[in-house]
Order: sequence, then structure tokens, then C-alpha cells
Amino acid sequence: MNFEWLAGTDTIIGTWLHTMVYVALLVWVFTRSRAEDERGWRDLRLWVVPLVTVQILLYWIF
Amino acid sequence: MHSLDVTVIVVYLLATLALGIYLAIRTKTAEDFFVAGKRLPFWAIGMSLVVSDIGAIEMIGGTGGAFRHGITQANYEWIGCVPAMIIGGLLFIPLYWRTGIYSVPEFLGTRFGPVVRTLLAIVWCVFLAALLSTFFEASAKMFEDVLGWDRWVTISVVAVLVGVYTAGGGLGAVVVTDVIQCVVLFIGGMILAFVGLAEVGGIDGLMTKIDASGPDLAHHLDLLIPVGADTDFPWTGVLLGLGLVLSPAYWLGNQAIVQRTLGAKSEWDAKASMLFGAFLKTIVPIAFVLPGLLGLFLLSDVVDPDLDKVYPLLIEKLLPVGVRGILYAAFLAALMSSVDSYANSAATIFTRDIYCRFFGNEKTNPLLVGRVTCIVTILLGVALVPLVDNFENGIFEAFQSYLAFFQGPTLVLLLAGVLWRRASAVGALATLLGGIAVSATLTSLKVHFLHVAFWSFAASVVLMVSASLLRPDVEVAK
Repeated sequence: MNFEWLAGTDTIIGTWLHTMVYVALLVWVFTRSRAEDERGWRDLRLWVVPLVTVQILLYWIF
Repeated sequence: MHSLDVTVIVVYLLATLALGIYLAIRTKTAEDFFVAGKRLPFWAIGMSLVVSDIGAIEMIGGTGGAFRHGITQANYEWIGCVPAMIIGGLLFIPLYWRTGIYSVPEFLGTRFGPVVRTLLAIVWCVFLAALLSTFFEASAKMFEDVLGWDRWVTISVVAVLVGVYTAGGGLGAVVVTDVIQCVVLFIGGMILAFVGLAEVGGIDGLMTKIDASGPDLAHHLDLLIPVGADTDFPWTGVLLGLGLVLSPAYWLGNQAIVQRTLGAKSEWDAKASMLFGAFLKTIVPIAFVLPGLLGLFLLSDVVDPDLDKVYPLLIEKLLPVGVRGILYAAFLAALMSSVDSYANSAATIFTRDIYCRFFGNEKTNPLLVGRVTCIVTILLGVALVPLVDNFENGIFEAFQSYLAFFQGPTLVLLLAGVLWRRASAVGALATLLGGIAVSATLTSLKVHFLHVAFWSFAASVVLMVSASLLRPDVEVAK
């Protein structure tokens, strides 16, 4: 139950899984339709890009 | 404690109390109390979300966790918040906001019926009181160890102060005081982090010291730690338990979180508040994880310190008189913002989902019921404080363990309710009861709490799918 069978495996698997989650999230965000009032700086898709980029970088750095 | 520090703390407390009372006087209706009259801007909600989540638990428990386990503690702010806040902000929160509900049980009740609504309301009320006890314990630790204050005097002072402005002003008072508390908290946390960094020779100095420390700190600079290593945060637990279950359940289904967004002045503000909060979450570890790593070297003269004392010890060691007062005020800010949020949420759920439905009539005053419930919840939280002592690894583990208990089933209810049309009322009931039973069983078998969250989620998915297919709702069956 505590995933002992994965003992010894490289955490790079986890890093890749983490990255794929964020890439999927980014794809989803950019395929969703925008609301009428989401224009210019109010376009929330633009807020997501730096958030996701920083998160992916952090997990590859550490 | 120096008189200057005491003055800073007293001024801060009185200012918060005065503001809370002023807002309480302006609170006239139940809508004002429960959803702040739907007047809140995104930045205020975002700051309130973050400061309520950080709370005293992060300051005390999070710093202690980083001291023992390293930078992996930051997972609670990053994978444990950011993805769920993005999904919540763009998918779930707009849905809640448009339906005009006041609580998560109310939302799930519209989907799965009154029995599920009632059960979920009871579960949430009990757990909100239990979570409050962890906040009170944190306050006792801080002031008992550092200032020598009696723990029950400390807890009583905090309970009375927060009780007055939360029971009076409702969500509006909670959010406005949270904005101030967020500013104080970040300033305080950053001061400690940067003073500590200067002491160890900057980031480079810190990393060099950790690298040179040998096998004891081998994983202190790793966000993801191998399964089988001597750690409480194996990467499987972090990604599957925290990232997949606990975090989405918390940010999509925690009443204390959702309720703030329901007070937004527009749907866009509700959505943007979550994303703004995610930006703040990205920098939180600088203030509350970094000090834990610094403590490894700055507290090297302290033999095996209690994890929950690392932060208070750092304050005492690093900061001059006067600045310490700001940090203590920041701690109180964190504590009060968590207590006020959970008390207000419990009041909302009890009033809307239990009292008004079963005991209410045309003469019922929901505003009064909400205020009384607020006070009762705080008193219950105080009464449950002794339970927190049962957790060996401190307050943080107690808080997360309480959450892990029922977050898996709650998340399945939310996901199925929104994304799967065939999810039935019987399926929801089986998920809720069965999922909590699985959590209880696994906890008793000493399974790690992050893995408890994952397995109870998996079991809940199976229960939801099988029970919904076997016993579909009448309309779907037709």
C-alpha cells in the first residue's frame, strides 16, 4: 500500500509525470473557450503560462 | 519579551479587532455574513485564500517539516496547490459562482439529493472543528515555548479575539482582515528568510553547506525523494496522494476556500482570484520553507529541537527587538486568518445545510444562527486541542491526516457530479460512506497519510462507478 515495489526507481519518472501533467494543463487551458470579458490583461490564459513554466522549471532544477 | 515587541503585538491585535468590529456593524443581512454581499475583488480573495491556507500550520509545521525533510516540504505549496488552483479557477469556481450556492454540500445536494447534502454537511462540520484544534495547538506551541505564556491562556485569547470579529462581521470581515494579515505575514516571513540567508552566506552558502553535510541531508535539496528513502514524503505520495487527491479536493471542495470565491463581485473576479492566489503560492516557500533549511545550520547548537519549535527559535536567534514583534504579529495574523475562515465556513454549512432545512421556519434568522454557530465551532475547536498531541510528527501531520481522511471521497463526488452524468445518488452515498471507511481502515493499518488519500480516492472511484451503474437515478434509468 505504500508503493514499496517502486523502491529504488529513479525519481526522474516522477519529474516527467509532473511535467506531463502541466503540459496537459496548458493544452487544456488554451483549447477552452474564452468568456466575453477575457480580453487583454484580463485573458486568464496569459496568467497560466508563467505559472506553469515556473513550476516545470522548479521540478527540473531541484 | 521586550516591551517594544509587546507594543507591536498589542497594536496589531487592537487594530485587527477594531477593523473587525467596524465591519461587523456594517453586516446587516445573511448575504453580507455568508458571501460578503458578493462585493469582493479578485486580489482581496486571492490574498485571503493564500493567507488562510498558509496559516499558523505552515509557519510552524511547514518550517519544521523543511528542517527535517528539506525542500520537498515546498511540494505542499507547488504541486499541492498550483495545478488544482488553475483547474479550480477555470472550471469549478465559475460553476459554483453561476449556480449561486453558498456551500459545497449545497452544490452536491443539488446533484445527488438531500441525504448526501446532510451527510457531507455533518462530516465537514466535525472536521472543521478538528482542524481548528490544530490551529489552536500551533498558537499554544509558539507562545508557550517562546514567551512562556500558559497554553490555555493563549488559546483563549486567540479564540475570543477571532470569535468577536468573525461572528460579528462574517465573510467580509474575514477577507478584509485577511488582506492585512497577508501583508504582515509575507513581510514577516521574508524578513526572517533574508536575515537568515545573510547569516549563512546567501543561497550559495546554504547549498554548499547542505551538500557538504553528508548522508543525513542527502535529500534535503530534492523536491522528489525516492520511495524507500528515510522520508515522510516519497515521490509517489507527493504526486499521487498530494497532487492527484489532497490538493484538488482541498482547492475544489474545501468550504473555507470555495466560500471566498462565492463572494466575488463577478464571475471573472472569482476565476482570477484563484490564479492570483497561485502566483502568491509560488513564492510562499521563500518565507516558510527556506527558514527550515536555514535552521539546520543556524540552530546547530540546539540538540534535536522539536520540529514545531524551529520557527520560534529562529525568530529568537536572528531578529532584533521590535522586528521580533512583527514576526509574532505575523504568526498571530496567520493563526487568526485560518481560525476565522474555518469558523465562518462551519457556520455557513451548519446554518444553510442543517439548521435552516431541519429546524428553520419563517421566523428563523440565519444571520443569528450563523453567528452562534461560529462561536460554538470555535469552542469545539478549543475542546479538541488535546487530540493533536497524539500525532508524533507535530501539528502539520495532524492537520494533513485529518484532511486525508475524507478528501478522497469528497473529490470523487465533485468530479463525478460535474463530469459524469450517470453518477447517481446511491453511488454518491456509497462513495461517501465507503470512502471514509477505507480511510479509517488504512489509517489504522499505519499506511502513510498521503497514500491513504490516494487509496481512498481509488476505492471511491470504484464505489461511485459500480454503485451508479447498479443503481442509477430514476431519470437516467428511464
